[in-house]
Amino acid sequence: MKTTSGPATFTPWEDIDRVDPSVYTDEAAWEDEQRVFATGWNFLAHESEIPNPGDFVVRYILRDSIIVCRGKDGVVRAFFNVCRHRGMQVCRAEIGNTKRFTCPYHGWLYDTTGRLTSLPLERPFFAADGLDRERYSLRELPVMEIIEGFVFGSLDPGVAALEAFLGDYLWYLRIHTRRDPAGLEVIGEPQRWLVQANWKIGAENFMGDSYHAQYTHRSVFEIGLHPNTASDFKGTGRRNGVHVNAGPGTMAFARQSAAERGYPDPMTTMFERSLPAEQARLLLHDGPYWPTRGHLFPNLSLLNAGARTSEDNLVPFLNLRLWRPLSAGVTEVWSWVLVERSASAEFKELSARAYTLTFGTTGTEEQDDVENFTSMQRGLYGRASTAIDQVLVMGRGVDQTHTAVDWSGPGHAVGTTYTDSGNRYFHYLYRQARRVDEQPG
Amino acid sequence: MSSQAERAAEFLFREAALLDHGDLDGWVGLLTDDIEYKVPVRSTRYGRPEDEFSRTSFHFNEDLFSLSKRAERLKSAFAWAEDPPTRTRHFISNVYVVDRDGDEQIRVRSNLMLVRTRFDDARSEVLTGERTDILRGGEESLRLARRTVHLDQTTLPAGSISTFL
Repeated sequence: MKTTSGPATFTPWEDIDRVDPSVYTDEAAWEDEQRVFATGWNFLAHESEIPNPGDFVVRYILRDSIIVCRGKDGVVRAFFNVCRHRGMQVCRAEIGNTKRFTCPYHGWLYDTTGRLTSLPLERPFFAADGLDRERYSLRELPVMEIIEGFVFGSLDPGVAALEAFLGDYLWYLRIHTRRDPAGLEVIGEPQRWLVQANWKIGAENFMGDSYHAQYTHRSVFEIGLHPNTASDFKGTGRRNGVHVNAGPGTMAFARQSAAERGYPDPMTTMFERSLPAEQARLLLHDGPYWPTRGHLFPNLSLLNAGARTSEDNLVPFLNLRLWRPLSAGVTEVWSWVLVERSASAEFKELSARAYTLTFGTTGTEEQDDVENFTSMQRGLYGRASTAIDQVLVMGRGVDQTHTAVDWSGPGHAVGTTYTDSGNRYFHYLYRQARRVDEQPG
Repeated sequence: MSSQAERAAEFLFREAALLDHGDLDGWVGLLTDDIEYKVPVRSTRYGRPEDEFSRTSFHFNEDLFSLSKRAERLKSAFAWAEDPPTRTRHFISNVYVVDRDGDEQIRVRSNLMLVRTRFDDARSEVLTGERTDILRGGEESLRLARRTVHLDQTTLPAGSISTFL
């Protein structure tokens, strides 16, 4: 285990203190980004969405429609949603359970393992003794891997192994996925909605922006829905926790225990027993620390927040969301509520309510986040406005905010969440992924 | 139209006017203490339309506490999504009484079209769906006790919904 302590080690991303705003509007940037998504790992589904043989969901990598299906043999596979005959979509639902995928055009039938099982007039019109059907199975995604229940896929057969891609971030992902020996599960189907803004704007909000909460979400603190209060945002407030850049992602931690975040006693006991020793030591003994926002580059966010569902009840939730870019200026958000599988039915229901009340399609915090995202994007369409560079200078030259702290987890930890370090890191990873070295300003 | 349906339609039209005029205190005043207000997530599925609605995933899954908090929030000087306010237009049509439970409770179905217009954008966002409501109360004062909205959209066109459906 690498431990960072003492003076800050050199971190190349700390020099990225400006963003060229054309990355949010420019067609050339969007062309590059499509290559990034096409050659990298993309989140597709959580395994708990398709627990039974024949369960499927339809997901996307860019515009590619992909069926993620648990076959009749129990194996999860990912297929392109393309009939091998003339390319018709063989699945036109978003979710379900089936014995076969049927092409409506000519009636080619595929089973849940992707095998072509029958086609009308096969004999004698395709071949006298039948077609070589194995050749016409649904085309599988070149790469699909499941890690900690998360199903990822790539269009690129040459992509690095998922575990190698996740690197140090896997350690942080496991804070969520290993807190329950039974793992996590989704609560129902994902919400989907459109945001008229570039995908990176929302992604960066989760990658590195704890600063906005005290002002953007002030109305939610005023009405007492949020577990934090305005005093938590003072320099010494306990929300002023630790921000970590690790592998291809970030995670922020509040100086609060799981109990203070609203988890009931049996669950905090479970966390202590279930978390891997290193994570348990950091969160429960070095701390208390509990994760808040997190982000896995390029476009998958995690949020462990909470809300009051009654005057005397604070309920935490775990939100997973994907920022699927449709174009430079339009993003489709997919958002799931994850929950500890061993939690009580009552906790699961309240947790989903706490999410709905604050985040997602109608959330009282999301409403104002979306206002920021879309308003930023509208401004950026101006030819001259796009030439006004944005700055990521919070925490530069302020000792507290860019100095590494004693931290037993991997990666680079900063002794506050009130820093742009996470978004400097986002743009560092982004430039690496695009293989450009912008020099804005 | 039966007199009950007329009464229900009158209630729904007045309720829509409160929402569209931003009188959220007035709107909360129309709710019973045990209000259950649900808008389930819809996903395209093969088979029957009613199977498309989630039992566990919602756009709204509210009680009086959460609806009151949502309304209270919008009065804050820091509720950016509604300052400047969104212009909303709730169109309610096809109102009919499904059934009744004595004189005190009726179940009403209607169509909803919500058109949202914001800033100087010439385009509006449209949400459509079917409401099933339970209205309770005597001659003088009907109140909303249950609402379920079955939306037509599975992917919502709007960035975030800051009004009520």
